[in-house]
Parts: sequence; structure tokens; C-alpha cells
Amino acid sequence: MNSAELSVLAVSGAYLALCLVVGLLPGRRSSDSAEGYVAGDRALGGVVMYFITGATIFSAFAFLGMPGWAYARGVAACYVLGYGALGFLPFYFLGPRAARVGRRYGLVTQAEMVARRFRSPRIALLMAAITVYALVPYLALQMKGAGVVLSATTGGHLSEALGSAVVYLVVLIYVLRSGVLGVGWTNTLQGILMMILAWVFGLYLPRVLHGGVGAMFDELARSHPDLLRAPGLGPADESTPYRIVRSGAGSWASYSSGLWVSIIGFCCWPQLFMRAFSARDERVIRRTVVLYPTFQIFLVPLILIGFAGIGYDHPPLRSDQVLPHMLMQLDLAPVVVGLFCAGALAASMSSGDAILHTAASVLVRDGYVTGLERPLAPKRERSLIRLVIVAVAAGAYALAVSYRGDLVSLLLLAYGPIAQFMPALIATLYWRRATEAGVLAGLLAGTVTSLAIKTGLLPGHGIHEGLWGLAPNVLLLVAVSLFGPRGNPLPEFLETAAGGGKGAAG
Amino acid sequence: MPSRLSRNLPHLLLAAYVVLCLAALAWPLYPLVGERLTPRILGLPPAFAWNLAWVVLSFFVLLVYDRATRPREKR
Repeated sequence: MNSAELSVLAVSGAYLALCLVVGLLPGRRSSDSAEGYVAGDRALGGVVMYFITGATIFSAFAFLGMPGWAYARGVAACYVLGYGALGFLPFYFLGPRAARVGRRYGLVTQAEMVARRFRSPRIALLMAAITVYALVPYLALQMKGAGVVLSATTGGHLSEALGSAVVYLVVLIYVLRSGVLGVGWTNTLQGILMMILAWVFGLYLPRVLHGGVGAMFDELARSHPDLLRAPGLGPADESTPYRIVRSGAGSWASYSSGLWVSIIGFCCWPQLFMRAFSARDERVIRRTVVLYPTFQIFLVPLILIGFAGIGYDHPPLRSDQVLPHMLMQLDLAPVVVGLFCAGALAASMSSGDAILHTAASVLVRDGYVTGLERPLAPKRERSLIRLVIVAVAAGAYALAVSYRGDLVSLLLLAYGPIAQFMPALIATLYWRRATEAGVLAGLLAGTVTSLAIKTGLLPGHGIHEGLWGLAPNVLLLVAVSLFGPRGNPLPEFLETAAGGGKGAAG
Repeated sequence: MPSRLSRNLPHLLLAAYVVLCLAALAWPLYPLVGERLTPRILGLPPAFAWNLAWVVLSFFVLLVYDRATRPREKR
């Protein structure tokens, strides 16, 4: 390993050490219960909530994939900006209601919340299964991203498998020790670092390669006009994660339905929705939603980086390598490359830690305690969640290093089913007539339909499978709730959610 | 005592904004802007600037809505 690669490794190592310290600091601040470990004793303030929600979403895929997306598909990358404008809005209304019932009934996950309203372990099991299925490949992708970055910036001296292992050992230590508070504090550090580095590289690369942002787009309008026209270009082959089909007949149907489903399903991701149970009060939740679009601005420089790479003399082998590839070619100081490496690790870790923590909490709380009806003492539950965190991390790591198929495709199979949570969440928190049978029928019909379309068993006609799934989901939820068995819903749940009832938080 | 309409006005306006935003960010309004190459706004092509503008606008709309509805909750 030469001195430049050693410098890169030293900067990355220093950053990992800093994350470890920051992640371990809050370890003693939460109570010794599952509620303290999973929901931070419902005491997260505004700054931590802002970064934990923002940084959770902006993963390794955002830091490496967004430039790659702009590089290969042009303004199709702006799709992520678009859905972020409204994606978090449903949480403004659902979040405070969830927080109230969370306090009243001691809930810490979304499936637990739905299951409690309808007194249905079956709902908890179904939602837990969908959630874990969605989150494990997601976590494996983050691990893989960390390994790829460390391996690329050390000239291959550090293998991808070893890189992933080192980074996620650090994550594992602070998540085990500090739970959601460790996730929150490190996400704040990582979010600030990501924002600074994204803007530095996002302005520097267009300037050094094209003479500035305006000059870059003037040049692209002449050389690659199709990349600047919406909806942008589609995927090069079936294995790529992009939904937008090549311009032409039907492309706007695909783009629009993909965008709408993303907006509907955005806050259904459990690692995001569960923050309703961690927030100190309802104001914190609402303020986080209001401020959320400002986090989207972080994506702008990442898109600019991708555009800067178009027409580059030495193209990268894969589009998602465009940013590290350019940085390695530009003969930059090793410290700068090391800082990029730290930023990419921050993106991977800030999503990975929340996913890891969420997947284990869901498995224990929704799968074991609620679904299988095995109540546990608080300390025992906390210990079990820690044990499951290690198991989930090991499983995701094994998937990351051994799975030879396309992890992104595996992950994309889960997007449609996750969006199917939205009707159930709205019905749980707002609709008095909703029943267990209705929610179960809707969830099952929506999930099966979206998976059948995604896997090609049913035709989708260019419309996003999640949108197709929502049609039978809503229809069955309403029809079965109105005309099916009434079940035995929890009295006062809706009153508590609306701010009345016993023990409602104001 | 405020009328029901004035009480619900912020919610109605937010709902109208959401519908407009959904149409503006996808079909049918986005194609009208996004398929053009000019004018350049702050150096950005129309499709890019359009999406960015709706992110910024959404922030301000939510901020105003939050302010408009907060005092009522306190009462």
C-alpha cells in the first residue's frame, strides 16, 4: 500500500473512530428497557430528529447512486427531488397520532400499533415479515457500499468483505450499546459531514471539469440534449434499479406512477415511521416534517456531480462508480479522497445503523412479543433485541458477501409491498369502521398483487406495481371492513389518537 | 367565532396544493416544462429547476400551514 492509500485509510479510520465515540456517548442516557433502547424513552429533540430522519433516507445509494443516476440517465435523477417534496407530508398528520397512542399503550413499532388497535397478532406477524424482508437486503446493500468504497480508495488492498466487516463492526458496537440514541447522535454527525462534502464536491467538480454549473449545462445541451429532457433516460438493462422507462410512448405513465407510489409509501418505511415513537413531543414531529424538504437540497450537488461526469475522458466501468472514479483520476490530495471516503461511509452507516436497529426491534416486538404473543420483561426484551441485532447484522453481512444475484432487484421487490402499509396506517389512526379482517385482506391483496406484477406473473402495462397493489388493497379494506366480521377493536384507541382519551399526550 | 369554512381553509388550501404538486411533479404538468431545454434557470435546465422549485415551495407551504394551524391546536 503506498503513502497516498495509507493517508486515505488513516482519514477513514479516524472518522470511524469518531463515529464510535459519538455513538457510544449516549449509552447510559436511556432507561434499561426496550422502550429506552428502541424509542429513546420518547425523548428525541428537534435537531437529532431532523438528522435521524434525513440521514436514514440518504444512504450509500444516495451518495454513490444519485451521481450515477444523473450520469447515466440525466434528469431522471430529479425524480428523487420530486417525491421528496411531498413524501414526508403524510407523517405530519400520522406521526402525532401515532405518538399519542404510542405513549398511551407503550408502542414502539408501526406494526405493533396496527395490531394493538385491532387486537390482531396476525397483522403484526404479516407486517413484521414484510418489514424484515424489505430491510435485510437494504442493510446488505449498505454493507456492500461501505466495502466497495474502502476497497476502491485503497487500490484494492482492503477487500470489500473486510471493509464491510470493519465498518459494520463499529456500527454494531454503538447500536448495541446505545440503541436509538447512538443512531441519532451519529446520524447528526454523519448528516452534517455528508451535506458539507456533497456541496464541496458538487460545486468543485463541475467547475474543474466544465468551468462551472451553467457552462456545464450549456455544454450538455449541445452534446447530450436527451439527458436534460424529462423524464430522462431509462435503465440500460433489467437489472438496474431505475423505474423510468426510455422516453416515448408510456414513459410518462411509468414515471408518474412511480413518483406517486414513492410519495405514498415514503413514510411507511418502518425505520422512518418508528421515529414517531421516539420524538419528545408532537411539535418535534411536525417541525421535522416541515424542515424535511431542506434535507432534499443535499441531493442537488450529488446530481450535479453525476452531470459533471458526462463526457469525461476516462469513463467509469459502472455508472455508480462515477464519483469515486473521478476523484481518483483527478490527482487530488489523499486527504480529500479520504474525506470523500468518510462521507460515503457516513451515508452507508447512517442508513445501515437505523435499518439494523429497526429490523431487530420489529422482529422481537412485532414478530415474537406481539405476533407470537410471548410477553417479556423490559430488560429481557432489551437483551433479546441486542441478540437479534447481532443475528441480523450477521445475516445481512453473509448476504452482502455471498449473494451472487442482484441485491438491488431483491430490494426492489419490497418497495411495492411497503407502500401497501399506507391504507392500513390511515385506517388504524383515522377510520372508526376499519376492522382486522379489512386490514388483513387489504394488506394481503395489495402485497400479492404488487409482487405478482413485479415478478411478471401479471402485466403492469408500465404502471408501477405498488399503484396496482393499492387498488385491491383499498377496495378490500373498505369493503371487508363495512360488510365483513366486526372483530374486537380496542376502545378509546381513536380518541387517544385524536388527542382525547386517557393518557393522551398533548 | 370563526365559521367552519375559515376554520377549514388552511386544510383545504393544503389539499389543493398537494393535488397541484402531484400534477406538477408528474403527468400532466411536468411534461409541459420538463421536455424543454430552455430557459436555463440559475444555470440549471428546466426539468432540474422545476423539481427543485417544488421542493423549495413545499417547504414554505408547509411552514405557512404549520403556523396557520398551530394556535388553534393550543386553544
